[in-house]
Parts: sequence; structure tokens; C-alpha cells
Amino acid sequence: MFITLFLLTFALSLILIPESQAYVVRTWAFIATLLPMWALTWCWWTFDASGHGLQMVVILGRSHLAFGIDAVALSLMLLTTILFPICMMLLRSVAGFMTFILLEVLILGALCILDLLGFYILFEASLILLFLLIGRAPYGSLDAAYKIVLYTMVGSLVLLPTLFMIYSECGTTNVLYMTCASNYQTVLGWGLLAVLAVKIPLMPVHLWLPEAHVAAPTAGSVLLAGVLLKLGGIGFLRFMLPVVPEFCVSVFPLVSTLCLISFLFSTLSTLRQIDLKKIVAYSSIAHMSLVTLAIFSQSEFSAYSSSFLMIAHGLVSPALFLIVGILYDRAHTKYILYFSGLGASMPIACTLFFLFTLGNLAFPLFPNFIAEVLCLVSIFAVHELLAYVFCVCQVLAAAYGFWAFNRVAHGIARGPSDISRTEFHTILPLLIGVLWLGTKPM
Amino acid sequence: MLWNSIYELDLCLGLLLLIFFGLFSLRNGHVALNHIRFLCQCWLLMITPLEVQDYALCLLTIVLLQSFHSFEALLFLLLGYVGQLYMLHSCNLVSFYVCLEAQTLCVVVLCGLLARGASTSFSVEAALKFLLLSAMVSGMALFWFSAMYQRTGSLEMIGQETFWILLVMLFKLGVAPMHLWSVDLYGSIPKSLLLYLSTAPKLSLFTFWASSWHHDYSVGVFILFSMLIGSIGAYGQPALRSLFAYSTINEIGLLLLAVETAGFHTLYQHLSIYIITQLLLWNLTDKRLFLICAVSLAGLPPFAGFFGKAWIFWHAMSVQAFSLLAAALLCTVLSLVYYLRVIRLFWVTPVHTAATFIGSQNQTTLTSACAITLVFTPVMLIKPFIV
Repeated sequence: MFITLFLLTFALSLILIPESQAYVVRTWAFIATLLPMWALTWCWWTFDASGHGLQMVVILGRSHLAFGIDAVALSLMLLTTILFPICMMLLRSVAGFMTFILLEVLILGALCILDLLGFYILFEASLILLFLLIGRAPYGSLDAAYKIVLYTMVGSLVLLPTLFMIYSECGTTNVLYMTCASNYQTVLGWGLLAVLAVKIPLMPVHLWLPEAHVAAPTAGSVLLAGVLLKLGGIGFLRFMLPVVPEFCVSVFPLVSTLCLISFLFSTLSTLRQIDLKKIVAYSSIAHMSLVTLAIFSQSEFSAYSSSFLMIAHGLVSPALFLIVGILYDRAHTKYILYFSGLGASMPIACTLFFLFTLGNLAFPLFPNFIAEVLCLVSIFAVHELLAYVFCVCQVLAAAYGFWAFNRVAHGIARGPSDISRTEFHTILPLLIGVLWLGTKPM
Repeated sequence: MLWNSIYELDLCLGLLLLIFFGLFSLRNGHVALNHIRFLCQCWLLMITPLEVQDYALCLLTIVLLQSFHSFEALLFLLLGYVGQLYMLHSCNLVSFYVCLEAQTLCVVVLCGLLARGASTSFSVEAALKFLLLSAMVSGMALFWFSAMYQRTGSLEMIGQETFWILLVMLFKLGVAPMHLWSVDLYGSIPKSLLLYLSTAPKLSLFTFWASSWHHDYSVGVFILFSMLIGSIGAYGQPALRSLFAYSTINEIGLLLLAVETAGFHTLYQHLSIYIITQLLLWNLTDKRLFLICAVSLAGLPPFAGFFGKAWIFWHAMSVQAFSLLAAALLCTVLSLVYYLRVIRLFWVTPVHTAATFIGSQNQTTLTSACAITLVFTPVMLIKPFIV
């Protein structure tokens, strides 16, 4: 794991050298993102799946900075390193490559760090890079860039005094050693909840997500949907449940209400959207609210089911963003009213779109289905009524999925040309992952 | 000022005479500038007493001296340095006043003198404003000191009412109800002097405050004023310099918070980070360096500015100054927005004039900027995890 970060920083420094030849930079960046993928596949191979604890723990010296991987983090890191080469295939400028490699270093570090202050620093450090990515003039919007930075910053500034309180209480911010006295748990819990609720968007503070996902370039949307939302999930699993478990139990009614509201709200909002990317973005909120609910239910399967749903969502949503990106490349618009009858002229793309829409709806044979069933099982163990309500509301997801697909693929044909080989190859890994995980989950 | 031996004193005085002669020769063109500057820097190093704070000031002044090119500048900066040095160690009201005035007047004169070409009237106007305001405040302080002398018969600093000393110092720092001169001044003076003005007086005054002087009054209201005005005042500014003047006011508010909660180690940490940021900011050649500066000032990780602010907040929390801490956090968010705006102006909009700095002047400024950048980013990464 340390090897991974080392490889990446190595790649980073090498990017600095050839700045004039864009082609060389591009191949270098692509290879540099493939290396962590191989390193992590090796980690996966040597991982002992029967143990419950953290493995490959690296503690630096006598400081309380520590890195370690558990199963959840390992799967998310593998997802990250699979998504990054896909992103690299979509980028075109040297600044873009630099930004993405920096982001990869930060995100991989944030996924495996065991120290709360380190986690805070790493995911805050990605904020300015996201600002530059989203705020770029021709495609993006400055409004969205401000929103993502300010929402996350306000949440994390609430975390900062909480962090200091943890330090003065426990003497360390390393999660391996943190066990908190119960009189401080409320304050600590609220602080952690504040920042993680912004990151994995829950209802009142989710407003940055639709705009950020829409305004980001395709590679940026892939990254945001696939990886950055999962940082919130892993924050909950790794930092909140072990440290403030009593707070989690006591705040479960509030969190479950927020999750339910955000699920319903985002699913129903999707029906009114006319921007294709916003449809996919709002469906991300819905999936993530189910993940949060599963985490907070703290039942037997909750960690497993929520991480599986995170991975499934991390395969399907980026694929949908890729398809929308392809459509945008053809037509230079994302408005759904302009697209019609693409099934006639882009059969392969529409097949893919259909498959991933089914994945988004949690259709059987797709990993989302298995994951959602498991999440509902884990919620059912704690709160049966909520699980019933969620089961019923799942159907609503089908509404916007099929509506979007219908508007785009069927109807009178006005066709752009079909999907090219390069673009197909960018989606191919995700397709393989989805089909494989759907039929043989692990 | 204690020298170790009479020989050293002899050497220092001799070197001083050499410098004066060299400066006059410089005016006539006989001697190269670099040599005289080097001699000045050596002289500074030699007359400093053997304490860490003085050496910090000396090091700063040496670095700052590097960007000045004229005879008057070197002379007045040396004079100002002597004033600051004495002020750091003063325990008498009169010596404090004299040294403070020496340092201030050097800056005032330099403001008026160092103008080039078209900006002469702006510089003179700024110098006049600074002179009038500081003379008024110093005059009031002098009146108060003399009233205290009449009442108590002694001029010792300890055991007196310290309110006016506090006010004078806060005025010189540029703290909020009395900050208007700094906003005007920042826009009008040449860059090298701006660098001097935003770093050296702050360092000397804060060092004086933290080491030699005890304040009896709470500066809480000044903290709130500074941070709020520094955060909100920058929103309407059209010029980069006045924007960073307001950001300086914000940072001074934060440093005052550190003093208020008696976290002097955090004060020094954040002050040193702030000084390095200023050095980088006014010596820029590239938009990436500017990005580092602005993000560090905004307080975003992983740059060093975040850690400076984090330590101050940490200390404030450990002494339970919750309301001030909440105000500080709010002002951090408010100031983040204008930093983002400036970053966006540099990076995102494709105008031809903004992002390409014509790679300027000396090798020296370039090397200092690069050295500072290198020191900048990773140095604070290790620190929080040890201890």
C-alpha cells in the first residue's frame, strides 16, 4: 500500500518533466495509473479474507500516523484504481493529468489512513483541485465549484474543533487507539456527522452534488460519483462507528429520517429533470442514502452490504456518466429534449445505456440488486417499517430510469454516429465488472 | 546591547563606517550594489545579540534587504533594524517610544522616497497618510506616558497601565478599527517595501509582545473586529493589493487570538508561516506559486497555512475560548470565498494578460521564491503527527 503511494508520487514527479510533448505525457500518465491497479490487485491476492481486523498496517515511527487496509477499504481502493485509468483515457490536457494524478494520491491516501486528522487533511486537500476542475470556463460553472468547496469546507470546519477535542480526550487521533468516554460522544458525533453528511450527501446538505456532477468534465464526474462519495461512506464505517457507537445508535432516528427524505426527494426530483447528467447525479444521492442507512443500522451485515452497494454504485454511475459524456461529445448538449431515437443510430451505445440503467434500478443479475437486497436485510433487522417503506420506494427508481431511457433511445430517429472503439473500451471494464459482480458476487 | 568584547564593537563600528562610505560611493557609481548589500547584511548579522528572536528578525531583514536597490533604502532599513532590535528589549517607556518611532519613521520616509515614475504621487500620498495617523497615535501615547510619569514618577513599563502601549502597538500592526492606513498603503508602495512593511514590523512587535511585555487588557474586541473586517472587507476590492491587505488584517486578527489565549508557540508558528507566505506572495513569477500562496492563506490542507491556523484553533479550544473560536471559524469560511475568487481569476479565465508573469528581474528574487516554496509544502506535514 505504501508502494502504491510511492509509485504515484513517483509518477507525479515524472509528469513534471516532459511538458511540451502532450503525447508522451498522456502515455506516462496512463501507465502511472495502471501501476497502482496492479499493486492493489496484488494486495487483494495476499489479503486474508477470514480475519476481521486491519491488515497491512504501516505505522510511521513514533508518530500516530498509520495506514491500514480492511476489506471495505481494499475493495474501495481497487475500485478507485480501476476508475482512474478510465479517467485518464478521457483527459486531454497536461494540467488535467497533473490534477488527476494528484487526486489519485490524495484519495488513495484518504482511503487507507487510520488517523482522523490525516483523513481530514487528505480529503480537504482534494477540494482545491476539485474547484479548479469544476470551475473551468467552457464546460463547467463557477457556481457549482463554489458550492462544492463551501459546503465541504463548512462541514469540515465543524469537524476541526471536534478533532481537537478528540485529541485532548484520547491523546491521539489514530482510530486504532480511540475509545471515547461517553460524556463527549455527543459533541464528537455531531462534528463527524456534519462533515460526513456533506460528503456522502444527506438531505439538507446535498445541494452541491447535482451541480458539481453536472459542471464537472466527464472524467471529473466519473471520479466524483465513483470515488469521492465513497470517502464519506468509509468515513462513517471507519471513524464514526468505532469511535462514537452510542451516538450512532442515538442519532439513528434522525439519520434514518434524513436518509428516507433524501431518497424520496432525489428520486422524485429526477422525474422533473431535463439535464441527463442531473438525472444520474440525483440517482447517486438516492443510492448513497441507502448506503448511509445500512451503515447506521449496525446490524450483522451492515458493513458488508453498504460496502457492496458502494462498489456496485461505483461501477454503474461512472458508466452512466461516461455514456452521457459520449452523447455530449456528439451533440454538445445534455438536455434530454434534444436526444431522441438514438436506438436507431447508436445501437451499441443504447445497449450499454440500457444495461447500466437496469443496473441503476437494481435489476436482478446486477450487483446493485444484490447489494440493495442485503442493505434492506440489514435495515430490516433493526427497523422493519423503514425497510418496508424503502422496498416500496425502490419502485420509484424504475420510473426515472425508464423514463430517461425511453426519451433518449426511442422515438423518432435523429441520429449522431455510433460509439467509437475508444469510447467502448473506456466503458468496457465497467461493463465487465458489473456483469461479473452481478452474477458472482464475492 | 551587549557585545562580547570590545574588539567586536570596534569591528562593528568600523564596518558601519565602511558601509556609509560604500553607500556614498554607490551613489557616485564607484562600487557595485551587491557588495555593499552583502556588507550590510554581514553587519546586521554581527550586531545582533545572541538570542533566537533577534536572530529571527535579523534573518528576515537580511532576506528582505535582498530586494532593495537604492542607497536610501539600505540606509534606512539598517536604521530601522537597529530601532526594532532595541525595541525588542526595551523595558522603559521612553526607549519603547523612541525605538518604535525610529522604525516607523524609517518606513514612512521610504514610502515617500522609493517611488518610481508614475506612481510617485500615490506613494507620497500614502506616506503622508501613514505619517499623519501614526504621528497622531504616537503623540497620544507620548502624552499618556508623560501623564504616567507625572503620576508615578517612574518610566518603567512593568506595573503601569498598559492600555496605550497596547493601542499604539495595535495601530502599528494594522488591527481593525485602526486599519485604514494599511489598506491605502498596500496599494501604493513599491513591492519590495510592501514586503518589508507586511513582515518586519509584525515580527518585531509580536516578538516584543510575546517576550518582553504583559498586557492586562483583553484584546477580544479587536480580534473580532479584525477578523470580520478582514473577511468581509475584501469582497469589494478591485485590486489585488488591497485584497491582500484585508487578508493581512484577517491574519493579524488570528495572531491576536493566539496572543489572547496565551499560545505563544502557536503565535510564532503561524507568524513564521505568514511571513513565508508574504515573501512568496510578493515575489511571484508563476501562477502555480500563487495558487500555493492563496490556498495556504485560505487555510486549506495540505499547505502550511492550514497547520498554522489549526494550532491556533487547537490552543484556543484547550483554553475554552469557544466564542472567539466560533468567530474565527466563521471568518475562515468567509475569507475562503474571496481566495477562491482570486484563484479562479488567475487560473480559469483565459485572458492573455493575467496568468503570464513576465519572468522578472533578478536571480535573487527567483531563488528566494523557489527556496521558500520548497520549504513550504511538506514542512508542516510531519509536525502534527509527532507528539
